[in-house]
Amino acid sequence: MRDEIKEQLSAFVDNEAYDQGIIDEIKGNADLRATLTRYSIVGDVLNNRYEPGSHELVSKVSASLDEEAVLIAPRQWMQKPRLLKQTAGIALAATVAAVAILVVGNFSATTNTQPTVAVGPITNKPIRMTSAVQRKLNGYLVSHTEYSASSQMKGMLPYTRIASFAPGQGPIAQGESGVALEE
Amino acid sequence: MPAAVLADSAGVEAWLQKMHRSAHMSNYSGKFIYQQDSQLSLMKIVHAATKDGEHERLISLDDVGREVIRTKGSVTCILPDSKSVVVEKGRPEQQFPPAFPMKIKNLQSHYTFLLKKQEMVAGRVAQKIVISPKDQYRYGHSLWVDRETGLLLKTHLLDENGNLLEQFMFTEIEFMDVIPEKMLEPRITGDAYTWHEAKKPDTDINIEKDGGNWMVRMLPAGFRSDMKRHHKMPNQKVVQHLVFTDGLASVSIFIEKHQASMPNLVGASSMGAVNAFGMLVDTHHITAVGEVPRATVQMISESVSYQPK
Repeated sequence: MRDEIKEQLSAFVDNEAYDQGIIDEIKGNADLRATLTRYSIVGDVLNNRYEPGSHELVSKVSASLDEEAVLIAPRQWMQKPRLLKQTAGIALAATVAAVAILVVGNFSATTNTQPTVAVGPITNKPIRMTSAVQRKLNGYLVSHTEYSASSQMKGMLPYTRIASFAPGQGPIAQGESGVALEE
Repeated sequence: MPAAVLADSAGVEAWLQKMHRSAHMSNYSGKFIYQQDSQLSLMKIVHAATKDGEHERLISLDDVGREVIRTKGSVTCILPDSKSVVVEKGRPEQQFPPAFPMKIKNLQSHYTFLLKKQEMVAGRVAQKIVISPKDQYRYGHSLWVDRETGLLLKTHLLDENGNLLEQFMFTEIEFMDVIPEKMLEPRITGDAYTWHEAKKPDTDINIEKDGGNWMVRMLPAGFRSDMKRHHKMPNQKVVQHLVFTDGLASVSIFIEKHQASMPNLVGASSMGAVNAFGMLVDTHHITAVGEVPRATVQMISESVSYQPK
């Protein structure tokens, strides 16, 4: 599916400005209708609007996801419009958007919620790390996950952090002291 | 302590024990959504409990298709995007299923436990449990536990203000009597991949020649030492790995000799809701990693020092 079609579809789901031609496309394209359904369901799930009992539909959606192997993201939940402009031409996939966030430096969304423990200054400036540092931190993440208490309670779910990172989207360094030594 | 709170704690402990047992003893296959910040992933999971122990497989349903396979004694991460396979030794278990690791009575000094109303998740009735931290050094949890089987169907990780950091949520799940072996096999053989395998050192050496010890002076209340080991990282460097936990949250500290040619993290980093903080302490590099706020890993890292014998 073309990236611009996906973007239009996402805009349509989110009631944002979209090309009227997308409606004709949806009418005449079964794949597009299936994608539209997936976008809607994931949006409902994440916004707690999903109605239990319709999981048969979710199963169908998941099955088609298996085939297409595409990640999906409801736009209002991702504050997409600005990001989309920055990732023009890139498929509307959540992992891609996350990479874009890294690059444009909008990683401060969660940093304002950090506790005010009396430690050294932390700034929110994201930086790129060398691949060697990423590899090392990935190794540490695997070791930590295997030996952490939450893995004993939650089984394999914490390993999702390892499996879900997209290429180039490994650990993120932050802060003025967040300097990865060069290879 | 109010009677209602005590009753809640007893109820929560029973539910958590059921959840713990189900996490290790159930045979199931399912799909779930993982959301962290702006990242959204659909994952498939297969879990089998046999007389040999647990066999688990996690598959990312994106176009990269990373897989994690966990069996007794090892964890294998297949990373098609970097054409590499990372193998880590599994946590040695004394028994199967492993013992319930939490002591709610002790944790009550640091968390509040509440039973909430039952809700529907993936078409199943789930008991909601809310665990809130009493200080700013750890995260909170909302758990939705399957009423029938005890399996964790949905979980939220929350910061100290109750903001969502990360969530897992099953969209479908199927329980089975037996899991076919084929469902646990990786899609990729890894023949053309680079293998990075963590190993036990040839001898049980201490990375410090004089036999001294690394000390951690600043830990959140209730954290205690859980494990200490040495292992070889894929780059063949020997790393000391210390784990501290309050029974719910854990922090790992990795200590290795600094080499100018080997890159290291200096400062803060995050991987999902996991935070890391690295720094140089004399001739060694310290990296703290944990599902705790960033300030906590920084505080712990900065308190690590070497105590010569």
